[in-house]
Formats: sequence, structure tokens, C-alpha cells
Amino acid sequence: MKIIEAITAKSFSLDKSLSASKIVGLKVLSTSGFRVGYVKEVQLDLNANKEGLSVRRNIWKSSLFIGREYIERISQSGVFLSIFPSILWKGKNILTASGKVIGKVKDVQRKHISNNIESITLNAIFKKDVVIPVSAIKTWGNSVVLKNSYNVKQKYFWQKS
Amino acid sequence: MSSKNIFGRSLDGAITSDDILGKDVFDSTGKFIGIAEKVFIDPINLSFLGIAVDKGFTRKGLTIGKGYIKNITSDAVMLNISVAFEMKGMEVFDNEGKSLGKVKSVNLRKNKNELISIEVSPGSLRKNIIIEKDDIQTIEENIILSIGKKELDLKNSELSNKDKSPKSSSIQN
Repeated sequence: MKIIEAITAKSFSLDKSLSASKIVGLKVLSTSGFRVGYVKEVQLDLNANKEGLSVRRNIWKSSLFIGREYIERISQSGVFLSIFPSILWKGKNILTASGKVIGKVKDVQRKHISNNIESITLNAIFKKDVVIPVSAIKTWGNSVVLKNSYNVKQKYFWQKS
Repeated sequence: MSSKNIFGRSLDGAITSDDILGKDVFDSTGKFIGIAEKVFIDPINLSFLGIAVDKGFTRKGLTIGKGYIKNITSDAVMLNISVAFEMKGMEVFDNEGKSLGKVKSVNLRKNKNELISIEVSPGSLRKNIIIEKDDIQTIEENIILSIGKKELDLKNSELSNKDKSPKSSSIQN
């Protein structure tokens, strides 16, 4: 095999690096072990020194772009994220502190395009959407559980606000 | 119609079995576990022992001791644990992200919610893998291990060798 001559100002080891072609197709796992999808492309912005991965989900769902700052590590079999992507909360149940299912997460409002959530939108059948601030949420788990102190005021869509 | 009371103290705030039966049961992460179908009471000291949970037509039921119940509200029974049996069916990844299979069975300590190990089925025609609790890094939506497949295979082969070795006989007085 021919030796590759390295020309770089920084120290660099070919053995410790992964080529982009080997990253494409790897599965992407969240901190909770959820299979987010598979790497579709490696995105580089050399001028802004920003990199990330675009992740292919299933045919019904749009692809995601995950910034480098949210990638914990890349191994030969998968990409581990340091987060649970906030947009994946969409569709999860919302429970009150007493365990009553009051609806589902319709939308997630984030700080700009980061993974930090500012609020979520509660959606329930025949009821108007309610925006719930992140400070009102006690647990982010299999469902979103609200704090005991937070009282959700849901109104039917025919009721005046 | 109010009933006569020979209880000796006020029953304000007390709940009845009717308040528990039929209620949804949620674990500490908000996961729906099932519906409370039975209440267990000690026949000697008459104290509340726990509940039985109906997990649906096709799945085995589950009994939960009162120590694992956080509170019983007007809407649901809330647990203070994540039920270890819920790991069944979860996908298991090694520390490299390689999928090892799905959890086939869960081995607990003396009917408590304390995990000892899990048995993972890698698919048909392949031997099941035993994974000890200490080798598990994350249990949430799925399971991520703190070790790789090679190290795991080594541990499992050591384990099977131990089982094959002749057992020492004991001498008792």
C-alpha cells in the first residue's frame, strides 16, 4: 500500500481518523439509546469551521442536521449523540403530575436552532392548543410529566379565549 | 347517603379499593405500565401490600409492592421506579453502537426491582448472550453497554466454561 504523505499544520494521525465515506450509513443513537436514524451525509462548512451530520430517518419523516457540538463520539458501528434531539418529543404524551393524560406534544419551540427547549405545544382533541413553558415540566421520559404547581388551562375550540 | 361510622377516627383523605382499581399505572418516567386490576391486603395484619397490573390481552400481568408506589392520585397510580421487566424487547447496543439483539429475559434479585442480568437474543441459530448489570451503561429507550462485543463474548465463554466444569462436592458434619 502506498504511504499517504500528510500536509497539515496540526498533528494528524490517519489511524485515529475516520473517512467521511465510512461514517455515511452508520446508525445514529441518542443518549437514551433511541435509534434516531442513519448518517446520510457529512456536512462541512470550512469557512465557518462548522461541521455536522445530516441524518436520514424513515420515508415519512424529514432528515435532521446534527451539529458537531452534539456528537459525543463516532465509532466504527455508530454515532453517539450527547443529546436526545428535542424535536423527537413531538407526539409524546403529556401527563399532569397526577398522571392524567391531557394530550400530546404537537410542537417544540427551541432557542434559535439549538437543542434547548423553550416551550412545547400541547394538543388535545376538541381543545385549543396550549403553549407550556419548559419551567413547568418535571420529567422528560417516556412521556412529558408536568409539575404539580402548574395548572394547564385547556379550552374547547368553541370556547372564547 | 352517608353510612354510619364505627371506625374510631375520621376517614377524610382515605381512599378505597374502588379508587385504585381500573386506574392507569405510570412508572417514574411517565411510561404507561398497565391498569390496576387487584389490590393485595395482608390477611393477618390487614395492611396494604401492593397491586396487580393488567398489561393487556397478550402480555403477562405484573404485581407491584407498595414500596414501589409513589402515590395514588385521582387519575392514576404513580410508581417511583422504572419497571425492570419493561426492558424486555429493548434493543441492546455495545459501546461501539453495534446492535447485539433484543432483550429476551430479565433476571432480578428475589422478586425485587433490582437487576442482576439480562439475556439477549441475537436472532435465530445464535446463542443467547448474558449481560450483567455492571456492563450496562444506559437503560432508557434502549440499552447501551459500557463494553464491546469482543469483551462480552469473552465473558460469556468464561461463564459457559464455568458451567461445564465439575462442581466440587461439599463435606458436612
